[in-house]
Amino acid sequence: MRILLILLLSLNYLFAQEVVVKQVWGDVDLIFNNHVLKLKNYDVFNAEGDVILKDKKSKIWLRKEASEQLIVWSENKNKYSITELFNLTDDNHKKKQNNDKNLASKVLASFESVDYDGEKLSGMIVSTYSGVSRGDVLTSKVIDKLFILDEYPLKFTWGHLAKFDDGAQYRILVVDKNSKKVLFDTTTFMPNAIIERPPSNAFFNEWTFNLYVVGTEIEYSGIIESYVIKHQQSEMLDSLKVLAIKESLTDECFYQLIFIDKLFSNNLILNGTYFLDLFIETNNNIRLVELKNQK
Amino acid sequence: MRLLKKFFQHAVLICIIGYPIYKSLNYFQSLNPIEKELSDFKFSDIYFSYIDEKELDDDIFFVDIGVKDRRTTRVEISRFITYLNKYIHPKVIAIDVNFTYDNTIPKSINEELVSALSSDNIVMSYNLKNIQGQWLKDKSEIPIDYNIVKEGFSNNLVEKVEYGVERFFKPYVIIDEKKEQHFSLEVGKFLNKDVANSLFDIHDKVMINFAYRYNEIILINDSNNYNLLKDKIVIVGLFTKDDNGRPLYNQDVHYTPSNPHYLGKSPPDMYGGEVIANIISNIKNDSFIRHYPELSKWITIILSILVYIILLYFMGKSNNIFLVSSLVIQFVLVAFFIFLSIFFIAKFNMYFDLTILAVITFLSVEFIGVIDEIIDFIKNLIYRKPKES
Repeated sequence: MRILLILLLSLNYLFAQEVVVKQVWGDVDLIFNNHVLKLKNYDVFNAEGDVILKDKKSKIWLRKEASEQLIVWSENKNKYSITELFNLTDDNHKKKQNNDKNLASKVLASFESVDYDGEKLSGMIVSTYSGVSRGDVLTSKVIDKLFILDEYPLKFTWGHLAKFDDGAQYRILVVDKNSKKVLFDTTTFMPNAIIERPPSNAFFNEWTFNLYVVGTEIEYSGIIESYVIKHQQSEMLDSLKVLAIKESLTDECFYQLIFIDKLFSNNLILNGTYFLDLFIETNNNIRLVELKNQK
Repeated sequence: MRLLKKFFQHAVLICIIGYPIYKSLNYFQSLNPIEKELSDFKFSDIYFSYIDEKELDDDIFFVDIGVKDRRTTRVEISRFITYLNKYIHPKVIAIDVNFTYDNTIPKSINEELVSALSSDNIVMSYNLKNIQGQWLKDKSEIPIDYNIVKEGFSNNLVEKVEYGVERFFKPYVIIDEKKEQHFSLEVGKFLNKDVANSLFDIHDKVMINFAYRYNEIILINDSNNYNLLKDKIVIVGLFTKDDNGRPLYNQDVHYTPSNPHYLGKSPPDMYGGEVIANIISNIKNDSFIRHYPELSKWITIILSILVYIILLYFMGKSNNIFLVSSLVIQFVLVAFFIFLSIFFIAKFNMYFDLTILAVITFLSVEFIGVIDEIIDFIKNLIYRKPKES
């Protein structure tokens, strides 16, 4: 009978999402198409039908994808429609997302302190799960922190990270870590991406970047931070930049090498890569090509 | 008497001005630099990140499952446990992995996994979750028989959600009127340690001593090294490192006091399994850091008052004496408080949190003059004689 019922419940598999019973306390039934199934831990059924909590001790914890519900018996209500239950959660989630899109709410939210009192133990917040979960969240490889110079163009390259398939499509996403504002989001078949005019924050820049290989689970992530240099050094780099750009239109290659070397030696790989490729594109100087091959 | 009167005036003014500033800064968290950088910093971080020489715990081994699809992960874990329990006989296998329901995985693979896990030397971890105000056990969604297999929650404690550093853990929580234990305690039982009689019964939260390092990580399908695991504590989880020994992946990574960049923004420095291993080593060696929050609080209050009174005393003497004494207090005393905190950890595994005391001492020197001028200004306003008409 139970097998028949599970088969019946599975008929709608293609049309409805699945609900996982994470835990059951007491007696809890699922009613679907006039059939009754006594629910137990780890049962899975389609997101339809009604859940009935039979007595005071009855309680059930359900999960549909990332949305979770804990239903507790009460005198007023002990029958819950699964569809309504999860639609309600989805609606609340959407409502919250819409609210979050509102500029005023965003500004206020960033200032407000969050109250975690209900989730505290011994006056402290419970940390995230210390273990691996092969869940829906992608796991990305973390790249070493990258440094950039404010207002200098930069170029990401990722051919060196792994051997990617020919014709692979990449998405690169750069987000301001504090404001969560998307600064750069592009999809490309090339193994590089350029930001010509990086947005500058006069005080401090810290961005997160993610590289996705589209259609795969491969992801890389890291942090990009403003490199703080002394005013004098910054002026010197600016002057060198002007001289190097001017020189790149000639056959000479003196300032270009110094400028590139200065950027790389200060760990400004993204800026250095941009200018090195720019100069090679302009004059194809053999010394610059050699330098690129060494990098 | 005059000195105490002056101290009282200062204290009242600090409360009047300081309280609203503190409250508003606390409310506007993102504007609060202390909240951002210092609220989650302790002097113990300096000790664990730089000074401490870590001791090798040879009884614990990490087995790395890497990042593979769910099917491969389950198949490899099943084969690994079955082989180990049949031929190698480790002391305990701690599974720091949560298996969620997946309809694409064949039933036979899950059955094989459940069968491999059904052994009395297996400890499963679960996520302690708060849903609608209730603590629940978010366990693997496969039918494991918990009459045979042990289980424990693997969450630790942090001061704040974002960039929270894991210094403490709670040995027990009560769920459904039952005492549920931390994952590491369940593993620790295999060490025949009398855990119940140790410090867990007197402290509701315990400070972790990150003083240990471990053997080379073994890959889950590297059967050549399985023989090293005989009679050892084996932790199965994600442990892949980059060339610099830092976590390569961003899953299950945590901030700990061992992070070399203890101030400011830095990537998380440890996988969850490594934090668990440190707690197990603490149980094994009975080397938890004894933390005295109440005593630290009273030391902070008493010494803060004392330092402030000393500063007031020198301020009343002469400008030059005050300048010299304030310099001494600001640098020597602050350095001494830092040293004292670290000294007690290093020598006695005891932690007196003097962070606030050092901050108060430093700020007192900076602001005592300003506060004194404000008091003088207020006094002038109150006591100045009205102009004769």
